[in-house]
Parts: sequence; C-alpha cells; structure tokens
Amino acid sequence: MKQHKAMRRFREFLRHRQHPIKIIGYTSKTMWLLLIPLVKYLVALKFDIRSWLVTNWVDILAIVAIFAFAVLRWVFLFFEIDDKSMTSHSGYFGLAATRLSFESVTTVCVHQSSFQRLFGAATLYIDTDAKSVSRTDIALVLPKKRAEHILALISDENTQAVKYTVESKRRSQLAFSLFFSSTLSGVVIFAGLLFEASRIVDRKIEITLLNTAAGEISKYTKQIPRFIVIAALVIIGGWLLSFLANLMRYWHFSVTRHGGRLTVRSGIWTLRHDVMKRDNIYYYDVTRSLLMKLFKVCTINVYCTGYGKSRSEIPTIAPITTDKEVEKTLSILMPRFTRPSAMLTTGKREIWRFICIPVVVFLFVPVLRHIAVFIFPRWVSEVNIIAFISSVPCVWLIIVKLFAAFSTGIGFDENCCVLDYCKLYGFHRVVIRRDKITRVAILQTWAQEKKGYCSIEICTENEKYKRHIVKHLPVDAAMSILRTNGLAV
Amino acid sequence: MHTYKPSGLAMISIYLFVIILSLALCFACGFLAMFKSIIFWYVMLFVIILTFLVLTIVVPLFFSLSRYSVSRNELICKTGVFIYKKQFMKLSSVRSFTAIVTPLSGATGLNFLIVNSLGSRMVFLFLSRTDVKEISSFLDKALRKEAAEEK
Repeated sequence: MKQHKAMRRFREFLRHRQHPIKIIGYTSKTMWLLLIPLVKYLVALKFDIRSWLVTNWVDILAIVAIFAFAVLRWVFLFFEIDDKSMTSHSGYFGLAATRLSFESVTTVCVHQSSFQRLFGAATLYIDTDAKSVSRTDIALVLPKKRAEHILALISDENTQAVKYTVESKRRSQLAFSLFFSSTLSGVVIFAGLLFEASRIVDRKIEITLLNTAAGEISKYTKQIPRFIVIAALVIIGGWLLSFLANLMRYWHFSVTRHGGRLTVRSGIWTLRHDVMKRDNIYYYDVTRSLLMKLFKVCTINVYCTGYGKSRSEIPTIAPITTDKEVEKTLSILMPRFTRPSAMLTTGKREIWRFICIPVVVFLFVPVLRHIAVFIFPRWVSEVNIIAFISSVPCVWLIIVKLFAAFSTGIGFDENCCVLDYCKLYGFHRVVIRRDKITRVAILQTWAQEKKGYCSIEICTENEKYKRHIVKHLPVDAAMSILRTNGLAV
Repeated sequence: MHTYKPSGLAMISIYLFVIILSLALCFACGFLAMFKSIIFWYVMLFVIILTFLVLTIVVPLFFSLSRYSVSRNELICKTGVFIYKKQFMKLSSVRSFTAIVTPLSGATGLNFLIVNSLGSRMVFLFLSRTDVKEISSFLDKALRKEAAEEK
C-alpha cells in the first residue's frame, strides 16, 4: 500500500516537471570537453576502472557536479495548470513564478526536433503581448502528448467552429526554399556547426576542412586565385545549406483558420505546430523579390507576438502563392483584414529619385577599383574580379529600384492601411489595422524639402521596433492623407 | 497645445563638451606627431575641421529646428539636421514614459524624456528640468485617466 502511494506521489512529481531529456540541456557544454578525454582514457586503460578512477577522479567529480547541478535545476523548475491559467516556477527552490492566463496568450507552439522525437519529448513555447521580456514567456520541454494537451487547452481546439485549411503544394515549397535561401544564413548555420564542433574537438578542423575543399577544387581551376575559390565555396555551400534548411523547415506546410485562431503546421526535421490568436495579428506583409515579381508569385507573412520569433524563422502563412491566389488565401485566412487600394502612388516622375543612390554607389565601384590598384599594384587581377563581383548587386539594385518607382504607394480605408514599398531588394505590400498604428513620421532630406517630397515612416504595435518607410511621396498630398485619417496634425 | 524647445543651457554644455574633447584629441595628436609620424598632423587637421562643422552647423541647426508639442490627443516631435523628421504619436497609444534627469541638469540642461508605445518610441532631447517635469506630470495624468476609463 505504502509502495503504491509512493509511486503515485512520484508520478505526480513527474507530471509537474519537464521531460528528463531537459537535464542534458541544463548541463554545461564544457561537460563534453571533459567527457571525451575521459572516455579516451578508459579505452586506453583497457577498461581498468580502478586505475581510471585513481588517475581521473578530479574530472569525474567535476562531471558529477555539473550533472547534479543540472538535475537540481530540473527538479526546481516545475509548473501547474488549471482550466484558465498556467504557472511556471523557476530559479532556486522554484521561488520565481511566472503566471499567465490563457486569455492573454497570443501564440502557443509545440516544436519537436528529431533528437527529441527519439525520446518522445517536445518543446512548448507560450507567448503573450507582455513586453517585459523579449524572449518567450514560457518555454518548457515536455512529453509530446502533454505538450499537445496544453496546446489544445490554451487554444481551445474543441470549439465547434468551421475549419478552413490552406495547404501549400510541394512544388511551391521547393520554389519557396529556392527564393528564400540566402548564402548568409547558410554560412551562419555552417559557422555554427563548425564552432560547436571546434569547441568539442579542435579549431584545426575548420581550417583543414576549408583548405582541403579549396585544394581539391583548385586542381581543376588552377588559374583562379585560391581565396576566390574559398569565397565561391563558402557562397555556394552556404546557399545550398540554407536551401536544405528551408526545405526541411517548410515541408508539409498547412495553415488552418479555426474560430479565433490560426494553426500552422510544418517541417520534417523539426515538426512545428504553432497556434496564434487572430486578434493579435498586427499586420500581414505580402513579400516578393524582383524575380518573384516577374514570375507573379509572392509569400505572405504575418506578424504576431511569438510566431516566427527565432531569427532563422520566417513568420509565413503562405510560403509561396501566385498573385491570383493571394486574394483567395487572404479571404480564407484573414477575413478581418480589408484590402484597401493605394491612394497616393509614385511613378515615372520619381524614377530618378529611386535610382539615384544605387547609381552613385555603382559609379563609386570603378573609383574604388582605381584606388585599390594604386595601393596594391600586384593584385590587379584579384581587384578586377572583386570590382566585377561587387558591381553586379549594384546593377541589380538599380533594376529593382526602377521597378520600385512603379510599385510604391500608401492608402487607407475604414479599417486598414496599405503600404507598398521596396526595402533593399524586397518588395512589400503591408496591410496594417488602423488601431495598431502607434507612430507616424514624415522624413525629409534637404533635397526632398526643396522639391516638395517626403518619406512616410509608420510604426505599428509589434514585439520588436519595426518601421515601414514609404519613400518619395509628394509632401502635401501625403500630409493631407494622414490628416484626413487622423494620423497627423 | 504646448510647444517646447530644447534648452539653451544644453547647447552651451554641448559646445563646452565638444571643445574640451577636440582640444584633448588635438593635444594627443600633436604630442604623437612630434615623436611618431606626420600622419597625426592630418588627423589633427581632420579633428579641427570636424569640430568647426559640428559647432557652426550641426549643433545650431539641431537646436533651432527641434520643437516638441504636447496636446490632449497627441505628441509631436520635430527634429533632425540632415534629415528633418516630424513624428506624431497618439496619446492613446502611449504605454509608458521614462524621464531622465541628470545631476546638475538645472545648470546643464541635460534632461531627456522617452515616451514608449508598443513597438515604437519617441525621444524628447535636451529639455529643461521644468519642461520635463511639466510633460511628465501631463503624461502621468493622461495614463492614469486612460487606465481608469478602461476599468
């Protein structure tokens, strides 16, 4: 009987704790630095445990201490749930408590990595509009079933409301990964992998890996300088890695509108299940690059506290869709957002204003090339290659800004505000609910002031400070539009 | 609608600070130029030109163009030197504010007011101590009133 009672108590204890896998997460990364040599010693001593203990007792003690500390953290962090709220205790002896009512939750996510899948665990993220903490309000590693149960409890998934689902096609997902894979993010992932590996093994691995790859390729391209080969390798490798990461993240992508919630499911490597409150969506952004604009496709992102919070994630609800399908997708998923048309737009007269800065930057390239050749006369061929490579994005930017002159504007209706603008190489159509606009600014350079032009900057309620700048609009017309809509004096 | 200007005392403080900083840099450059390399004379020349431009163009322009207005419905902040910026924020979207009053600010005019709303903020620079107190008490009353209405 006593045994039975103790078992029940233990189960109750576990019910309010995270998944035991989290203990590994709490251990310091330096533990692995100690563990690997210890295993090496054990193998070298042919599993003679006694002499192994005698020679390495300090390291073993350190590992035990690290592990014990991790277990203590796991024990101290516990949570309680009732029908309407959740309390998470953290810190020593669980003294710091975070309590949130389910009503104030904006986003709740369950993410399961492939490693967690082996142990049946998943990470539950809960976010609210409270701006006191920039990170997730509550993040817990729980058994998958428990995490899904809490998600259902918070998102009230049992309501009888009709479900509307939009699924993206596999061909579209491939195209999305293709368009949104950037070398930079790939390089960041690769650098992260190398950094973590070098912390455990040795920094030499990083240098050896890059040099070996560059050496292999240089055999076939002897005329190209070595550092150009390394740069090309980094760019192509980075892009490929980013492409694969995107493909795995957005595979099997589907969005469902169910009552007051939007549910997004995606991923093959990491399974994601995100639920957000529709009322807390600040705005949506129809984004496209120039290539996407030419092919008449775009992606729709939504901004809501907690959704796509991680830096590498894109807060999308339609990874890729055609211009024809945008209206249909939005009317299914975002019926509360009206779609006003732009009242004030730019055109032929403003072309020079848009391309002026890219043209000046482009003209600077040959000047900088001459200076570089003057300083480094031996490196003429390398300087020429770099000058050519750096002039390509300038030319592309000029073309993008030419298009931007014909797709910039601002408009209002009773509920929403639409902003069409181009930021660097990307085209945006942002639709904001008027009650979510917090600050409006009129920006004028000396040249713009002289010619009667301005840029409008609009800030919305958001988790982060984010500005939308619509450039080169006639100042009088812009001011009158803002005044009639009660946004300026 | 009440309109406020940056304090003249703050302008004098900035003048003094820039002059002291540039003099210190010039002495350091002159000292290094005597013993090390001629390049420090060029650095010194650059510092002198930069100081002259800041003192004659940037600071006077900033103080003559900056205006802050507070009314029942909104806050307006007009500021900038090379890019002139007029900002409008509805009083209803203000969530909190931070008044920064530095020691001896009665004499230096180095007082600041940061008005926060969700996702944006507005900064009132170099106000006099009385202006900061006046705007703070106005915002405090407005926030309290809004909270009472919500209840």
